[in-house]
Amino acid sequence: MLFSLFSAGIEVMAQDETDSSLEYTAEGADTCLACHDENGEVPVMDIFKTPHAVPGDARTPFAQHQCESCHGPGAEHGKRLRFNQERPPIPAFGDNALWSKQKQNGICLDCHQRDQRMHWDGGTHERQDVACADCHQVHVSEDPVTVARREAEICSDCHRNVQVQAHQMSSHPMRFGDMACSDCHQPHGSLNTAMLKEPTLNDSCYSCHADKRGPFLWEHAPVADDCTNCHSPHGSNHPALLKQRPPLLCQSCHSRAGHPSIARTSDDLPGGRASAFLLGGSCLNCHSKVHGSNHPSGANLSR
Amino acid sequence: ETDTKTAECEACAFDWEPRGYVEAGILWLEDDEPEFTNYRGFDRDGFFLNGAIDVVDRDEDGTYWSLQGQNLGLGSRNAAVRGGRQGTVDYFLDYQELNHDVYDPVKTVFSGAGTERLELPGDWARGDTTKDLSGLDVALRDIDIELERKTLATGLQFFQGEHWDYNFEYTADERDGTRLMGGSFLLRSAILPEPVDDITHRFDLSVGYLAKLWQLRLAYHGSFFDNDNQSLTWDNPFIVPGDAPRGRSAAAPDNSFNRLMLSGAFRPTRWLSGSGHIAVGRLEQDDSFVPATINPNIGPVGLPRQDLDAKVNTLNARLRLTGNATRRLTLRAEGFFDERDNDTPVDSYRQVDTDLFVAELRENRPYSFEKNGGELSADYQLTNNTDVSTGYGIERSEFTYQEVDATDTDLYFGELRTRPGERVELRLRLGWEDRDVDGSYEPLAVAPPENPLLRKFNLADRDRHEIRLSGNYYASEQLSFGLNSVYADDDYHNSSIGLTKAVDRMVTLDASWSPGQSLNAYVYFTRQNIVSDIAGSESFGRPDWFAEHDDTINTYGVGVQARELIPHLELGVDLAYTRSRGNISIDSRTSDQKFPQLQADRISTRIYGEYSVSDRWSYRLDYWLEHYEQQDFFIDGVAPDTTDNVLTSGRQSPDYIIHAAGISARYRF
Repeated sequence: MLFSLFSAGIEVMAQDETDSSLEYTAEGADTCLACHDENGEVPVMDIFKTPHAVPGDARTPFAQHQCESCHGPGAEHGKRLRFNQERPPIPAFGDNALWSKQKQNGICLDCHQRDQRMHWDGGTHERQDVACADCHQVHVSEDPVTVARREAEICSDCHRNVQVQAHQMSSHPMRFGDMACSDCHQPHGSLNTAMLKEPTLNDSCYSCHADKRGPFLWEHAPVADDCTNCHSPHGSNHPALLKQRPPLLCQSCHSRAGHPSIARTSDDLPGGRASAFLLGGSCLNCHSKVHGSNHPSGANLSR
Repeated sequence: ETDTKTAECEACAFDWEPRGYVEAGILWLEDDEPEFTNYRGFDRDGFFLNGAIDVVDRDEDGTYWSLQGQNLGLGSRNAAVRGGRQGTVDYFLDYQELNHDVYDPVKTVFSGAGTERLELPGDWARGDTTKDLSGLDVALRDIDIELERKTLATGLQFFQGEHWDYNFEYTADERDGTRLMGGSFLLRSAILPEPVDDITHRFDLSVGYLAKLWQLRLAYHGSFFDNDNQSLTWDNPFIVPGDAPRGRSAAAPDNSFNRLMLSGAFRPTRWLSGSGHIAVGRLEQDDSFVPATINPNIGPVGLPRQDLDAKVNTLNARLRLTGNATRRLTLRAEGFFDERDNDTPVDSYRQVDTDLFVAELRENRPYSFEKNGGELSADYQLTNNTDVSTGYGIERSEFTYQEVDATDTDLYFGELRTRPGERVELRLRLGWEDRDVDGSYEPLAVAPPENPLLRKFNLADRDRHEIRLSGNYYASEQLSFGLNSVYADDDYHNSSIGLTKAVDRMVTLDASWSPGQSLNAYVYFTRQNIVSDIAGSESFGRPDWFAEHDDTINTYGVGVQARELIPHLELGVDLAYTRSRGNISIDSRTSDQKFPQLQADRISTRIYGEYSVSDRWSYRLDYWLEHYEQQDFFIDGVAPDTTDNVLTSGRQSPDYIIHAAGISARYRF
């Protein structure tokens, strides 16, 4: 009851933005498919293999105005032309479309508004004028960006600098499609840092690495603060996605009297001192519980 | 608007029969190189039977089901079943296996890898240093360090009318295998195969209400980590002062996280919209402690409690309002609040240092923090082709048990987006941040003490400058060029010791050519350079050594996809070459030295061809070539006994050229 009152009150505030000057075709998709068939510049017939073309689902385009549900009223575009007359553009999703990118996005959001798209307005992609159709294809049997193993191909059209990091010495398994960008990010808009799905960056990491979540008896403060203090999540030139190599990574924050403050030089290599403070895992040779320890005697993170 | 909702469509090619493909074939792998097989799921070399399936069936009334599976014959594989009725109910069942070849192989003297008890050979002769371990060569053997992750997820979604939807999802994420860890006794250590055997159960339930102009969602998230291992015990291979026959470390404790989240959005007019969320969570951990030491030579050591009874409350809230003040001006206000309130009891724990000797009492420090802030920004359409944006934000972070009580950050940015011609797009963004410590930086009381000049970089005063420049040039409808570059400079201007400066530069150039539906080609180049400056002090005073850590990674890539250039044939080529170089130099009182360069070169080539002999049958040939060569002075030439005091794993950098090929037949229906 309260929901209904609230909803009705807000709807009064809405402004009708429909373009009343445009008319739909008389024959619907039959008119469109007379020209736009499988042999056209953009083959469209595979849309009949998709959830958009299910007349039994009253929400889908083909239960409504068919092609014109998304492309807008097309009577003007589809009319018979006089000799030398240029064909008027279709209102939406076509060459020289009449409607703005924002309005075209609104067509998709009219139906796809639930849940994940709640934060589209004002989000990074919306502000950068990204259109739904920049990433999504609806006239194919399977939209590539919805297939986990192919998703990165689409994202890399704009985020090539991130995609190539998957080729570095250590990375998440994005290169093989076993992990998709959308496993962590919400491309349809998020209120969180870097458009992450989870409320915090660490919550994103803990989704797969719950063992690092603790809470531990002996916590390592920068871990609880922000995993990216030490890790580069998209790829790194160092093992375990670290930003730098220990001991320097550790010495960025630790210079206690004694061994943490000593400069490790090439004298510490094999042939010289062959120091375990440098070689192998360096600091982690002993302080192996860098994400925290639950051992009563683990205050120095070596148990 | 004329409503001509059409019920009949003669040209519409609705197809209500099951359709898709099944594929079967053979894969051949030349050699079992872990760097190549990692995540791909080859667990050996030789021949593999492989298969894939992708079937979907839709009915006119909206009911549907689908079955998908990829790499079904390999270690890394996945399968999914989905079904339901569009707009009414959807369900799914997903299964994925992922093989992570961490190191393959490494050397160890311990038996029992994969269990909680690592034992030395019965005739092991302990020594003071690795050079004194007389039985080392005989005892060393190869083991693979691998992790396998199996994930099973299932879920159900109901729709009730136009407004309500209900979701339920359960995921079981199981890991099994080993990884490496160091097990130390004061100044002696051995690299150990640590067992991994855990499962995380996740539950997500939500209910959503969608109206035309607003929506709400209430969601519960529960995550329960269950570790089959409580500890790892290992024999001490060394003779150490005080003597400890074995050591024991604690495994990651079982923990749980429960969170309730309310999120919503409203769009009352085209001039105003907003969305936000508030999430309340609780993280708990009460795994029983292991004893303070396993060393029988040390008497009983009391514990203040038998488990930590840790409780951390979290609160995360975010709100964004967007208003179109005029047709050209958009204003935006955002705010956030993140809290980690740690209610874990504080007690004093007697330390038994590396199972060797009783040391001081230490109090645990359950860290809490609270971060809040906001941003005001404006986008203005200067002309039809040019937009400008500007914004100002603040952040305040408060900490407990840290060197600072709080930091305050001011953020500013300006952005220009312009299309100076039909063929050109440009975007320039300038941003800068000023983070200041509120109050003084007081080192925590520890023994031995911390250098008072050190500033931990995540808490230190910092000036950050960032420049982003990107653009596209569309030479024609078929040919386009792109530029993407970032320059970020962090200056820790009040840090004498620790990280003092960090610079990250990246530039990407790419071009793509699509002369038609049948041909698509691209080429790209990316260069990233990351430089970090660190200062230290051996004399426990002013800085007396300075290090520079400089990584440069160049990546070159090219790819072509061609369909029907030759009738019935699809061809594809992907080639990527990544050249990574890391330089570390140390300028100390006694020397100015560089380490050997860290190098990693990866050339990956994938070529495939698919020939359709009919509408239903096609044959596919895949070929992979990968060359990987790494030089890493941290591990190369480091045998188990190279360092005197750490028995290392002897792992070496990979260096290989490997070929793999596959042939398969696909039947479409």
